[in-house]
Amino acid sequence: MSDKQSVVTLTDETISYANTRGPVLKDISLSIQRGEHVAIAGPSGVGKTTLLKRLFKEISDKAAFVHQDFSLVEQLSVYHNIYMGRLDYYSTFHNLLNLFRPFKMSIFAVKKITEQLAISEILFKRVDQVSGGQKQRTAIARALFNGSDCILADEPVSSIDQVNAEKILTRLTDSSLTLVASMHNVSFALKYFSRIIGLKEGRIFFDLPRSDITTDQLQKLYNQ
Amino acid sequence: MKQITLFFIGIACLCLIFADLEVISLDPWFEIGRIFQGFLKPDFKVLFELRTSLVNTVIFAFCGSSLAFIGGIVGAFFYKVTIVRYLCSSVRSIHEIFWSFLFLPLVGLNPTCGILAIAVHNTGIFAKGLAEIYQEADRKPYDALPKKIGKTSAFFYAIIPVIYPEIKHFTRYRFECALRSSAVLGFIGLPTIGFHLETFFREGMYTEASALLIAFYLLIASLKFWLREKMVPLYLVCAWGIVSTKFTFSMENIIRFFTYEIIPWPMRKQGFVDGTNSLTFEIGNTIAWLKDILFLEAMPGIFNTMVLTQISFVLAGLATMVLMVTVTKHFAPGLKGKPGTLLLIVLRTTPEYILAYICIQIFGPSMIPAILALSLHNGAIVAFLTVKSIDQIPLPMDRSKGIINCYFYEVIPRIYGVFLANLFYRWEVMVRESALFGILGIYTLGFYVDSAISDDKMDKVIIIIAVMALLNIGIDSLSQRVRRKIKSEGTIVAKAA
Amino acid sequence: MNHSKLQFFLLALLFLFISQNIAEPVFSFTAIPDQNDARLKERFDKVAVYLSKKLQIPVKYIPVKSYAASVAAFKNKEVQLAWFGGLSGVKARRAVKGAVAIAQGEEDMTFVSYFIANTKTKLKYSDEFPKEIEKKTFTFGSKGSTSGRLMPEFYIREHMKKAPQKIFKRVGFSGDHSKTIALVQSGGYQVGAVNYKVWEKEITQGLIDTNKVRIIWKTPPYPDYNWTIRGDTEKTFGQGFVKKVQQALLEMNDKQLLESFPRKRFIKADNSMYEPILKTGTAIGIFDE
Repeated sequence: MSDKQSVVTLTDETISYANTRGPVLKDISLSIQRGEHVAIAGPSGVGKTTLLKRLFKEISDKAAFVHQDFSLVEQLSVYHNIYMGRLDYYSTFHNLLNLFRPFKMSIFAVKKITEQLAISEILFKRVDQVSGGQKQRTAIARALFNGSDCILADEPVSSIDQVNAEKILTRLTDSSLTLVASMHNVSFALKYFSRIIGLKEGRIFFDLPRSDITTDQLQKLYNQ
Repeated sequence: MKQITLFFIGIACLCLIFADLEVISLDPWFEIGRIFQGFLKPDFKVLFELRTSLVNTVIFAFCGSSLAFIGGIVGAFFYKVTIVRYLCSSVRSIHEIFWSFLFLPLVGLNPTCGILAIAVHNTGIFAKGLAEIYQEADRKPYDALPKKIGKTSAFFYAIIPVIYPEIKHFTRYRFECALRSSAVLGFIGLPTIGFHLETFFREGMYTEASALLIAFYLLIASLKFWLREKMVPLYLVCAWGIVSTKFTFSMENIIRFFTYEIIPWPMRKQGFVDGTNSLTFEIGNTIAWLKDILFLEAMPGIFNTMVLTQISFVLAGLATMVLMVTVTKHFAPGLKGKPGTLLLIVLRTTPEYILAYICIQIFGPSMIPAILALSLHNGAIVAFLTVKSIDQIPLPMDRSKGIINCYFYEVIPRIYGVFLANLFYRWEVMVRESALFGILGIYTLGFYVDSAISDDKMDKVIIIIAVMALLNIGIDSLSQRVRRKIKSEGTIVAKAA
Repeated sequence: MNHSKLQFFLLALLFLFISQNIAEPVFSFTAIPDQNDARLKERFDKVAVYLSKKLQIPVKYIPVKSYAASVAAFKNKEVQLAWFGGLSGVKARRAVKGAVAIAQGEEDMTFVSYFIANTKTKLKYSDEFPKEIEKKTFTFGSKGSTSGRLMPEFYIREHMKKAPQKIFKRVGFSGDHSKTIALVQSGGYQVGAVNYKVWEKEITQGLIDTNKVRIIWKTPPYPDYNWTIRGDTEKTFGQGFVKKVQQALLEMNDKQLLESFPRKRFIKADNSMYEPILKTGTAIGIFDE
């Protein structure tokens, strides 16, 4: 537990949101190590998002978050939405200027990331004019642009076609990034993540390295 | 939307070149200090002395808006008729104060004049408002009725109950506006609180002025306690009862006004000189006379009115942006938002005319006070309308920690369409008020009306007021077009908000 | 208070109001609001009491906000008598057939206006028209004032051969004479024109700082203020009523009452005395010709 490499640790936590009747998670104990790629799996409504948000609360100053609903500002361009990942790094004055006239330097930096995600050709389109998949990639780009070495992602490839999804997951997991992502696609989880946490009925059902997971366990996870 | 914004900012900058932006009084800070002191210790004793003016303010509003309501219902029924629509919009485009200038020679400077001014202006507004409510009413209950039912019964059973809450809400709001107009009418001499406010502010009696203004705020703030639906008939009976004892009008005046005073002077000249007061049809001279008015007074008046409006318009937008930060629950939750909210209420409740009058006492009659009054008052109104949309935006938990960052990246882009639409909704009102401020000594259209009134030339007054109405109608239709464009550009904007 | 009690209260109030307002026809008068005076109503109410005693009928003072409103009230029979300036008097008598000027202040046949300047302008008093006021900022009083607008504008045009808007850097209308003095004294405007009576009254009251504002020119004398009465009052109040009112005004000798105007005493006047005002007004375009 006192591992120096630990990014975030929860011990016997009960997690619920005061003003919603959302899922409640009980007796949650887990620790995420630096550089780990962790998938959170489980039936829908079990509390995957709740757990991710709880983790983010612990480490909000050193992690980036990819929202399931993207949380993009639809009226701004793809570029601006990605730039928002670093708002707190620059001076307010710089930010305001950039809103009206983007800086070359920032465009260059943003472009590098969008190229990896294949959205650089829509960089200056308004977000409300791009497709759902492109929006999701914009949200991922924003998290990457933030520059933190930890990303918490809520269903990061749910709207993206298979080919591109695999490319993006490769990019996200092929680095020193610490990645915690909820995944409804079990085969992606098994293929790209080193560790999988299964949530069932408000508790951690299993928390195992990929290699230790059996088909039986997976079936039990999703069956009533 | 970006183009519209840049275009209007460009125009405003151009207008700055022509605007008269001098501070004419030398010591504005001293005066502002005295006003603050006055507000710190208001002299509530004067309220007892001036109680009739408070009662009159309410009575005028009741009588004026009840007449307007009846007129508005009639207008709304025939709103599909083009002429009715034009009539309503021209009636609406003339400010109550100018209406009272027109009624003054007809009925004299008394309650009748004030009530008619409020009634006529608001009839146009009620007709439009009620017609729109009717158009947008939910038709499902109406369509669900058996086909055999007569139209009238269907209307009373399936339309009126459906739109009644909205009508009530709208009427209540217009009554509040009528209260403000009623107060403002005092500034030109009707016996409402404006009469005394004018004296107090002109002569620097700020302890008395603040007491009267605070009483006015309380009157409006307490509307929801005393303006109960069940009590309205009784209030109306009382108001009309009191007013009925003061009605005066002479047929002689009315006839003279319509058949003589408003006839162009060149036609009256011969008769005036030889003492017969007969009319001659001097077409050539009349055209020359008209040309003089249009080119020497109406044109410069329109120019200054628009210069003042366009500068204030952009600044009102800016004021809105600033005011919204201080009151939205995102940045000023709970108690933090209270001072901003109070400021917003005060700026919104104080009629522009009174704000401008106060500012002119401080800064002298240049465009500065008028710009201040227009942009603050309208900024507060637009902020009030728009901040509701802001409060509904779910801001993500990983948003920027800087308020300004978050405001400009997360908030403003999301509500910009709503904000612009709300701002343009005030455009026509701002033109109307800019023209009005002429009577305070700024060279907008109202200045020339005031001069003509002062020279007792009703023929000229009618011409300039007609020009003013045309300008207003033009701006109104332009603003509607812009708002439609904004809506079509930002369908998603509206949804997000 | 519950509803029924409140209803009763309001109805009682209504009857009180109505009973107060139904009364015999009253004789009303007004006065142009030419100076600073928040207590104007109080003071003119005393004049009303005086007239009421003299004429043996109820007399009411009706306050107005502007020169134009005083003329309108006179035209519309809301007042039968008015204390007008030269110009407003002419306007009123032009509009109402049979209206006559019946009295004026002793000083009113030889009324003058002062041109005043802020001392920072370095302008000094002279008997000659001060042509140096060109390119300065200038304020009149009310647009409808004789001593604050008509006569000053007439002499400005006569000496400078141009309209005020073309001579001065800025032209304003302060509204009344007290405001003109205050504005020139504070430097808001560099030069202004005021009624000499108001100037002298404020000097004796110590309201003027002569280190900051001084007189630079006096206009030649002209006829000004007057009491004007509607001719048709004789129908309502009986034959000889106009004479009775005139007599009452001439007999006013209470210092306190006269101070409201401010005049030493009232003397007889007639319409023809104000011909020069009509001519001047026509010359500068206030009256159509």
